[in-house]
Amino acid sequence: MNREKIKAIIEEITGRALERENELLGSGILDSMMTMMLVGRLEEEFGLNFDAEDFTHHNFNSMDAIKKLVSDKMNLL
Amino acid sequence: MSEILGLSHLIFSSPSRILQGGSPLEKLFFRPVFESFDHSEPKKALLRLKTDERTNLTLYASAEGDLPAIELIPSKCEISRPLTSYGMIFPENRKEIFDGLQKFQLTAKFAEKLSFTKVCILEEIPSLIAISPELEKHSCSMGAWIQVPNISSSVDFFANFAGSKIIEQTEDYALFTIKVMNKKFSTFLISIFKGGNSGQNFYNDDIGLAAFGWFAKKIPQIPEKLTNSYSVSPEFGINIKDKKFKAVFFYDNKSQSNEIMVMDRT
Repeated sequence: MNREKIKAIIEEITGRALERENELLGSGILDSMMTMMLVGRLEEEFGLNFDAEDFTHHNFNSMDAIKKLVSDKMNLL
Repeated sequence: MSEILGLSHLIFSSPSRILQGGSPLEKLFFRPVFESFDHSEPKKALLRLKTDERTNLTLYASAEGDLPAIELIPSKCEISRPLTSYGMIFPENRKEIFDGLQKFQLTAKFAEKLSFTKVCILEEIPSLIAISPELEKHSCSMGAWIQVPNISSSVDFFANFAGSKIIEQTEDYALFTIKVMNKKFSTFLISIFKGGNSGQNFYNDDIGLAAFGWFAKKIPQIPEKLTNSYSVSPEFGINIKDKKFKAVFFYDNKSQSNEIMVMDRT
């Protein structure tokens, strides 16, 4: 469920259909500004609070990693 | 917890609006983005020349996503920050930047701490650039040194407000690492040295490294500890391509100012 929401948010931010789920930063699908927009939208959507420490290449380079980050944050609520 | 997420860009007031053809920095950055804003009101207290109130900026984003962006703002100001009071440092594996530059063949050491080799001058910015072994030691892709008249307020700003991690600190020297908000979320080394004349003012349009640019989650309040050292500009808007930001300057007109930006989601 969260996965589909996250995917929809990424597509909304990038303005295009997500054709791959890994190497999101490496392939240029996400850049640093888009990542910040993504974090803002994830905070709104899931009621989360991200810290500077969460901004790592690993955490935002794949759908699996983003979903895990969101799940981990939700478990802390 | 700091509201600041990390460093985004370095702002230079420069005699020229673009890097000159063949500049070694062109190897590291994408083709520039040009923007122009009327920031006359919010920047009024930060500028020496009122004629430079319109901000015509040129933004160079890191080609490999591992450096902060470089922003050049052309200035007609005849006052320059001392060239030895700031500079950019790179790790050994970025030696190619130095190809074709006049090297002073200097091996310098600041405050008996930070070693530099291959000190060169990039005249078009202008800035000194050098290689430092400290960068590899702390896994940093780039760094900068700055001289500040009041080291304690600078330490308070970088460590307690901007969320930088202190590596070393003495009475006249401090070394920090900070995350860069680029594609690789790389690490940047900031080295500050006590020096200069505390009675001397520097402004954002003085030629040289004018400001550090930071990304934050929201526009922060100035902490009580820093209210005697820093002032905050009125809020202003910035559009970079299709992205909208809100920003303020934290400044003391003594050392580099700090532009703090947040995404504008209104």
